[in-house]
Amino acid sequence: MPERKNTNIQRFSLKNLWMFFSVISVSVCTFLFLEPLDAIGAPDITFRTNIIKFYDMEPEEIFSNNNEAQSVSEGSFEPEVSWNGDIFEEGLASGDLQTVYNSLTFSRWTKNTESNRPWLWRYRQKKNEHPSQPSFSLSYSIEDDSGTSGRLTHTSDSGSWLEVTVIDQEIFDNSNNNRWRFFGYARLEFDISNARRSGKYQGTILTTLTYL
Amino acid sequence: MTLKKLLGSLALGAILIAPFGKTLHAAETSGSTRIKVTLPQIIILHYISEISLDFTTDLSTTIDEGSGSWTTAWDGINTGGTAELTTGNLDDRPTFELEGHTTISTSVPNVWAVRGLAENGEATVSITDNGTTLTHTHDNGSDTIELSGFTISSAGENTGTTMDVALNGIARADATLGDVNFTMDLVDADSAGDYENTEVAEFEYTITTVTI
Repeated sequence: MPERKNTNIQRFSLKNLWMFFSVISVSVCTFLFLEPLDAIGAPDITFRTNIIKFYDMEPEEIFSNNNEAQSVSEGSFEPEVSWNGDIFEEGLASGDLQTVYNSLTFSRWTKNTESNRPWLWRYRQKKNEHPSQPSFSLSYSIEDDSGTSGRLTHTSDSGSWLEVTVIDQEIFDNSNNNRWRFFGYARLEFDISNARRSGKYQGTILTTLTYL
Repeated sequence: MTLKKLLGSLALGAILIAPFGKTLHAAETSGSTRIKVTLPQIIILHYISEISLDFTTDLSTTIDEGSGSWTTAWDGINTGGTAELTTGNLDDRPTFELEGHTTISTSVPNVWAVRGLAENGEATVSITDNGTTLTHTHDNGSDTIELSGFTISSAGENTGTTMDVALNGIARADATLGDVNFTMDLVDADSAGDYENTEVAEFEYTITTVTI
């Protein structure tokens, strides 16, 4: 009985062990083929998931003063009036009103100085896994809660919206001897031409990082 | 070829191919971030600061007061008659365009406009009647026109001293325009000429707007 048992173990090890390692090798190599080599030491990329609240727009960003209430004298009006009180000439036309504001846009960076978050995305990777400086590209897109591109909408009125454009981006290199560390920021420009309401406007920014 | 050899060949091939996988396609990763920004309340009031109503049509007419008969003595002295003109029997037709009234109600169109941002997109506009009198001073004294009953309206609706209007955002083209309505009492206007407010820094009416 003991000899018979030993014989069985020997037969299993010789034949199936080679097959086992062969299958494992094929699986590993197939995975390496399908995934980029960087997956071995894949970078740790983090996108800010908690909400970024930009600092409120201030009246001085569109007016020459920091007053949210503006009154504008449009001069004099001398219409003719009939003896029954009829006046057919109009005093103001909307197209002739004084502009008042200096700008219809304001901008904010996705960093501490202009929002409640220090960065929009973060890239970290060990240098011994990637000796040369990583090269990657970035793209941004913005949409409101209904999926309309390039805008944020008012939280209670979808007909009131801001046109939003990413007008600048910045990468801060905070690498040390052991790691590549980059932090990314985007600068958003908000156009209030189509805003009807004060209050909160919201949406989503999608950041796509492509690394080679 | 045995199964063992086949698997071994596959593993070797995969190992040889694996390093080239990196160049076959770039890695891409993306993340979504919620963003919010808040706009302040903004209100812009445009107003005509001086209104001069010009009654361009001079009232000039001749009135035939009908026929009359007088008894005349041979010495030329009238001893009686039936149609002598008195202040009490003059035909009122010189003021026929006033339809027998001494007051004229008028509406001055588009003499104020509002635009801006509010939490619900509206603002309250109100008018204050300052109760002033227009005066015409001449060699024989002075005459007056009393202004009263100031109200506001917009698009022909909501005549009153207070009304809520849409702000429609900050674009000039979408501003809400409004009228001022009032009554002129000419009972003490006994002379032609310019009637004006003689009180310095005193206005006939004041328009106030407040975001809702």
